[in-house]
Amino acid sequence: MSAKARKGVTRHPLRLWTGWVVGIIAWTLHLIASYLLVSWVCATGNYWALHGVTLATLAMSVAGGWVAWRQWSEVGRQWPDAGDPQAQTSRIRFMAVGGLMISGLSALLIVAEGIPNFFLSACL
Amino acid sequence: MTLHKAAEQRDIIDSPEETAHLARTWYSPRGFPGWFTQVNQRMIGKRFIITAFIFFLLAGILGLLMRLQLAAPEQQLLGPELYNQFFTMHGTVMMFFFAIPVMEGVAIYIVPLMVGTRDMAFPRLNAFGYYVYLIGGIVLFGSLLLGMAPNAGWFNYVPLAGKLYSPGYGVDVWTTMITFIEVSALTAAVELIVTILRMRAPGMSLNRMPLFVWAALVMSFMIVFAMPAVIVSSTLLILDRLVDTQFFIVESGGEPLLWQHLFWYFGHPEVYIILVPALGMISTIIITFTGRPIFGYTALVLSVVAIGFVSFGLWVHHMFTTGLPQLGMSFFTAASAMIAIPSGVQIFCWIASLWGAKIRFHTPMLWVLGFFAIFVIGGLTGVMVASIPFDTQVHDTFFVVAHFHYVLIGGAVFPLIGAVYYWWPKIIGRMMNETAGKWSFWLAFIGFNITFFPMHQLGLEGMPRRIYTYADEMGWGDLNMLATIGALVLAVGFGITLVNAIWSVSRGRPAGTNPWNAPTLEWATESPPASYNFRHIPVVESRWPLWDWQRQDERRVVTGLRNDRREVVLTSVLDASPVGVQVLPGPSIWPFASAVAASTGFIGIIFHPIFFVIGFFLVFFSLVAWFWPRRPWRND
Ligand code: HEM
Repeated sequence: MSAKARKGVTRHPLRLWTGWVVGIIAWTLHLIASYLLVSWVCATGNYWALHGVTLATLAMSVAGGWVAWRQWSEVGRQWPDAGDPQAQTSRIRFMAVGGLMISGLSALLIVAEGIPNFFLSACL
Repeated sequence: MTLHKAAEQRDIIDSPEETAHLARTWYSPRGFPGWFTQVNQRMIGKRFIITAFIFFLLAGILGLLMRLQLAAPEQQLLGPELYNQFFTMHGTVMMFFFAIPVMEGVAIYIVPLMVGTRDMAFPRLNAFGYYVYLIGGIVLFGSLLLGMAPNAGWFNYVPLAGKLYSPGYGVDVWTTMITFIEVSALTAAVELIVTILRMRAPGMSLNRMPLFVWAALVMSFMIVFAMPAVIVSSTLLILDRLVDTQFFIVESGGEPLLWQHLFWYFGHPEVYIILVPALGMISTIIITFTGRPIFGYTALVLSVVAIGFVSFGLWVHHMFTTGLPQLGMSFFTAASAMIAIPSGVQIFCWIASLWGAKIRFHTPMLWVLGFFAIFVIGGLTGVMVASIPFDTQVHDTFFVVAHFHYVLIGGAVFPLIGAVYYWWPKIIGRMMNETAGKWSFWLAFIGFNITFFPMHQLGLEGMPRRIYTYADEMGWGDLNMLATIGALVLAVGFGITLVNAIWSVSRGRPAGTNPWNAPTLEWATESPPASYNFRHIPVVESRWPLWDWQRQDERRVVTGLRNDRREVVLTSVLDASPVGVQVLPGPSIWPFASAVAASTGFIGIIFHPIFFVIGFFLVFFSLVAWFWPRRPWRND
């Protein structure tokens, strides 16, 4: 681990939580916004609004994942279970991988929820 | 104070006087005064567990009585009104007064031991939560004895639950008691979160936390986010009923679907609040009985976290038949399907952990294996009802009753009983009988399937749920008889565990410190633990501290805590490095007094609004007494 990376990590301990939180918030926004938009889309036919929400929140969760990925790279991309004598490093890996996975799952959820927009009418 | 430099155990000499002094400092009053003043986390945890099992027994008896009524067509054992009260009480008590509190109770007892501390963050709040729960439960059952029990189902839908269709006090009792249990759950959740994040033994960084502790943490966060919704909905309903607001009254512009949204926004996470700690119990038991580290710790933690948050995006799947826009519902179908991913990760990690391991088939492990079989079936029928066309077909039939008993009993009660067999020796200090445990398991497993499997078929044949009887011509008699026989077998199975647990209190073989050779800290202290839990707060260097110590034959501990007041070590959130010492309060009557005061207000308000004022002042005074500052010069 380089000195710079260590500095980056200790300077922003909150960055490690970013991946855990941003993805979840993006997905929540997607679910609520899409659900709320349905009747409006039915009235106006503006399907792009639904797709727009999907794209925007997808970008958000990917960004969360990217932050986590950066953290992971800074401490050396190894799987956290591979026991590390340096306790702090493996804890940072654990949190970074966590952020990555959670953002990834959120992105997947957003995509899955975005698919019906292409097939179902908003007025059914 | 030498927190940073931990000492070797062999360097420390424990004089018996000092130990006795420590025991006195943490002493919990016994006997009659103890009922109202104890605050130590293990006492509160034990009370939660025992009280919850009593409610399980009572609600189980209601279930059996319903089964007896349904055993044959056109029976008159229970009339329609009583049947309505019974299924409402059974569902409400099982969900709110058994499942959540028992999981909290186990967490309250076990988590502080697992993270190596002496009590929880707010001991008096803990006690308060218990009394509120107890009072709520007693009043709810009291209402059944007085014949004014709620009867609108455990989800209490409006307009049925509105004043127009449910006059009388039943629904008021329901809404009030639900608020009680919510308050109690919130206190426990806050306790657990703070304890887990700030009171872990030095060295227990996030990635070394036992899986059950992770599960308890996720459960607590879920409680914090889910419970307020039902507090809001029941408050709105009680306003509608008592002071004629119109939140749910269609004629004046209210919206009955609002109830369903608010209720299920809470109600769906609720079933996962019950499931998540069970997942933690399963991982714990698997680790111990395979005798090796679990496969995929990180994946297991992340999937529990994922299950926790995705469960908040599923609630509309309970409302598929309410005529919401299809596109809107499809978002929730998608999320419902996606929760299979983290659940699948759990199952695969467990299979990988069991694969090729030398498994010791003790009773706790059997219940876990039983969970696998039952939960998978429940999961499959869950996927079936997640599809809207199928759900429209079986909605409100016995198919749904079968499905949710498979996931609730299979997913939560089986692991829970396994956990009881596993941790009872720690709580009581004596082992439960293995032979009886196995009998209990097999009877419960077989009885369970005989009871609930036929219900799938009954549902497909169109038998609606919540009917007190059915006509002979429908041809549902045989399967119902079978289900009732199964329920009796199931009851005998659970009964054996009850007898076994009581028997072991006096007759069981002494358990010793670590009877299962488990790796986590709760097994590092005597069984049952002394009043102070740990003579020395341990220092942790891996996920499996006890297995480390066996290899290294020495352990590091924290020294320097005073033994003349209740001191615990505070550590940092991420790495659990020691940051300070917290002094905890001792036994007190005020949590009990506050609980009684709050209950007077809440219950009285059903009958007259003046109780709002009375309750307010009573609570105010008891809280002032509760928070009366300690005297710094006394140093106590
Ligand atoms: C001990 C064995 C049990 C038996 C024999 C049993 C039996 C029953 C029966 C007969 C019903 C009513 C079906 C109807 O007419 O609609 C029912 C409903 C229900 N049960 Fe159970 N049950 C058992 C355990 C549990 C457990 C452990 C839970 C939850 C943790 C649970 C939760 C529920 C719920 C939520 C309902 C729905 C109530 C409603 O319709 O409002 N049951 N059960």
